[in-house]
Amino acid sequence: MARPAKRHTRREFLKTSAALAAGATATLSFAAPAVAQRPKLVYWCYQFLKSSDDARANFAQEWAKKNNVDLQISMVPLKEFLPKITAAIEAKATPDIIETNAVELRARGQLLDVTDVYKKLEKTYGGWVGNAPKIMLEPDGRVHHIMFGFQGFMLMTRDDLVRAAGLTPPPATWVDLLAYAKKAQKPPRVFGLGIPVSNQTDSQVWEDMMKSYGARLADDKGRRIVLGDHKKEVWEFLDFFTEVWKAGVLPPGVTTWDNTMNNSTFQSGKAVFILNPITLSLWLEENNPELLAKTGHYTYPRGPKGLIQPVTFGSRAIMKYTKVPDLAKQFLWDSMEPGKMDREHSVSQWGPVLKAYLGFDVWKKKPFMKGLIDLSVRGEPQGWPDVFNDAWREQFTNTTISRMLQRIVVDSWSRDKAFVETLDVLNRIYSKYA
Amino acid sequence: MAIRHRSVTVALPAPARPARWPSVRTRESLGGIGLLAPTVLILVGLVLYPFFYAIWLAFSDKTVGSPGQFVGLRNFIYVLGWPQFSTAVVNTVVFTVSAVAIKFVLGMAVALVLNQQIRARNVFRAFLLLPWAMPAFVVYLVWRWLYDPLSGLINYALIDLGLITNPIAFLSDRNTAMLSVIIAHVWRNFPFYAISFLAGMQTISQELYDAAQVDGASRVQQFRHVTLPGLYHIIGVVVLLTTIWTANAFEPVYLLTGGGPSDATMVYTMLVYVMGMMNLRLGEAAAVSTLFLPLLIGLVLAVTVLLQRKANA
Amino acid sequence: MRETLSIRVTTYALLALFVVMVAVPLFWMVATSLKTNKDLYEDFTYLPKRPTLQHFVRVIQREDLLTNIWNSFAVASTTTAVTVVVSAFAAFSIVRYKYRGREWIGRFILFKYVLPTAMLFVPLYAIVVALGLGNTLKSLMLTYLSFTVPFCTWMLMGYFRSIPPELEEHAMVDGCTKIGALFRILLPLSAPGIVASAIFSFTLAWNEFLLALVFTTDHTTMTIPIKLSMMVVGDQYIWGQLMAGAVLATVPIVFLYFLGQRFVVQGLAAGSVKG
Repeated sequence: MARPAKRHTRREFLKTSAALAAGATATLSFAAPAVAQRPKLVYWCYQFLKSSDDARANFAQEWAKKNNVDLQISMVPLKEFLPKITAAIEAKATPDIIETNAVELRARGQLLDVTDVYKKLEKTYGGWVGNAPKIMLEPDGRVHHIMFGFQGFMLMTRDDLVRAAGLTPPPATWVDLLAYAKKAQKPPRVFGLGIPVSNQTDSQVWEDMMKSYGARLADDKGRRIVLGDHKKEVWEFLDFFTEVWKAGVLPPGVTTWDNTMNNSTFQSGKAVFILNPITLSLWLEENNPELLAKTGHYTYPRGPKGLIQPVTFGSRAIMKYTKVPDLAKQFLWDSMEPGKMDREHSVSQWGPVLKAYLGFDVWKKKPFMKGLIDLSVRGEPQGWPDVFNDAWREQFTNTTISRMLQRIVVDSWSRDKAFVETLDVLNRIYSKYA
Repeated sequence: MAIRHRSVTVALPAPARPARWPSVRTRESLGGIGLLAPTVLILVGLVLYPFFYAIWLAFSDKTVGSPGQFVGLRNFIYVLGWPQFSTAVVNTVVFTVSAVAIKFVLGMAVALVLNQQIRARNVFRAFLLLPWAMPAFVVYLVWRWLYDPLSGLINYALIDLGLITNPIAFLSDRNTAMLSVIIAHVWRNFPFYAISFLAGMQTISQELYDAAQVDGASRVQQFRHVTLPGLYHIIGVVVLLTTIWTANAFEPVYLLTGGGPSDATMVYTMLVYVMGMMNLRLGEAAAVSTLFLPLLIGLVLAVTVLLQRKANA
Repeated sequence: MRETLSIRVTTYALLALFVVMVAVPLFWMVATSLKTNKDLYEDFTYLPKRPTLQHFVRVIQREDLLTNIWNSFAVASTTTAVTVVVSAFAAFSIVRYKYRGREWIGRFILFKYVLPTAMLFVPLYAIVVALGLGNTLKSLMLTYLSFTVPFCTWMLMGYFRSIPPELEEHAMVDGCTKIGALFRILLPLSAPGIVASAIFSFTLAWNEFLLALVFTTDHTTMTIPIKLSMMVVGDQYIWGQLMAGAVLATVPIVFLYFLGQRFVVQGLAAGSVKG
């Protein structure tokens, strides 16, 4: 016969309910931290490439020991960062230091002002590389995040297959790229171009391509949509795209590729060209060096109206709710120390942000890293020539341009119909932020 | 003294003297309420509070970290005007209705089979429940890979068997995407139906089947007149619940197609994700969810009414 | 007899069909977990060319997956135990007592599921933090009740309703308390329902993703689904490890389901006593 266990349960629940009622009605306060002997620091480390993530986490642990800090590290996969930080901010249980490139947080005033750290780094280490200042400085001259690396998509090429087709890599223009892809591919085993046309953000390379044809989404202030004025350039780009689609250089399935598919397609030797950060190369270095030896790393080809080479970045920021701002700033400062960065760069996909890093050996030792320097020095912030703001960012995560292309090839819409919908979507998004 | 109910015999203590059961209704009611209290607490604290918070969000311009102010219907107007909204409605209905129907039939068939006297029945029962036992994340990744046109098992097998010559991009072709997602979803979720129906079948008394057989009923007739009626309650529970669950399904679409190609598999949960999660605009995300409430509530009520009628019939 | 034979054939044929249907993806999962990294990216093969246990070893040693399995187990079993008790009481209360409002709770309890977790996790996290349960397994044990209890209550309501109250009334006539009748009569007769509720509750808790993602931040507090998702690092899937982890994550549940089957039968048998 069952023994009643309910009494214990009921009491537990009465206790919980009282707490819940208090919690739900009273203003939520910080979970009171224990008054510790050592200061406490919570660090959310961005997880994207194991070797790089480990390097940063290890440094943090050593730093904590050296400075006698009680450090709590969390590895947060990039994709899951947003829900986690959302919940943390709302519950007022935020970490101290985060790694991200999310402009959304900056715009919503969640980050601590670190202009002093920015200026000190600039003075001590010879100045910033490339467009780093443009990315970090806000219109009023303040800085809320410190970049620690450039990253960007490069054109990764099976040099061996291209040469075997009698061509010399790299292709100079997008049109050349298509020609090379057509000649070097061997379907159904190997396809020319592993570029997604899907609802995931790797597909946004098409937006960059479109811009290299002279189109842009919004005006110089990043407020008003002007894409409608560029119909001619867009049509030119669509001509190119249609040719790509009809040429059969894109593998089947690209309309639902996620951000990993181009990697795995290249890794299994099924693509001649892909556009990807060098995270892939670092993986190849460990798992398939023969393939790495056959792979060339180049910057983007040009379009008729010029080169669009966007860079993204990794940066560290301090949440404004931190209880240890000076300690956190200290961490940011120490994290940029050249010796440490030298070691980190050799296992990471990042390009150098400070001029003092340009002299590292790693750029010469690993040939595919050279391209990173190029990228860092010449690259423009994402979205260029559009302003990299919240509105642009939202249409980016919505993969607006890729959706336009899908309307045309998946739903067989006319160009006009697809274009009209795209303008409508862009206007709706931008008008929210105006 | 013993009582037989269904196929179970329950022993009772021997009757001693007439009852002096104190029928103090209030005391009994209090006892009942006491038993219900923990559940009510859970519902109020963990369900109602977040629920109303989410509704409030829909009427606010709240973004992460900012307090948010009441903005009336602005979010709703924005969401309703969104090009893919009506597509999301249609897709959600198509997905939900198809998936539930297929799961029902498949689950019932599996339960019937597992209810028979077969050898190693326990092994088969545990085995056929496995798709539901695994994390959804793993299930849908495996299916994504199975469907892959370049390196997936299904295409390779079909080509090796000579049934097709070129690989089919199941998830990337507008004509096959939705069905492919439904199939993966059904594979993962049919065990829920199977185990529910199986448990229900176990409580149907064998005597009823014996009686029916004596009356000359065939197996099919036995199913219609003994099994199905005995399962009405459980069918009601399962269909109701899984309709809501299926309509709220996020992982199948997110992990398999991301709503694509184009908006072929864009269901409402994907819309919530893209509009809200990715952009930290909680008000808009909440507005999408709130707009779908009438649809879901409508489905729940429809099923409840249908079942009441059947039960009363 | 002819009918019996054709029924038996149909039964076994269908069984075979179902088994194959379930087995193919599972086979793929297991096969992948045994392939070397090289095998995974070279040409397609149905079976691993050089089967290896390296992924399992790595997942247990380097990734410490057994801790996460234990975490999942602790959360799922606690949630299940509390759920079954709380739901049984609630269902009993709604079905066998008379007081105002009970019908309404019964009718609307399922509406909980109408809002997706994606909308509810923010206020739930606020509650968790207010109670000081951030980054603990207890936070999950508590919040998971929000989606296990409504369903289990509803299910048990159905089961209890289908059992005539006369049995309990007879017992009460003979001096048994109402609660006693619950334990001695109603619960044994509802054993299949109880077991089914327990299985559902356990599985839902075992596989839950979003709340575990948000509420736990440490590798040592993570549950299995979160840990497995960590094996999708950036833009690479670590397929071998991922599938090895998935296989390990499924084994405890398989074991439990197998046991659960027997219990249903035992539960029924326990309800009968020779008088």
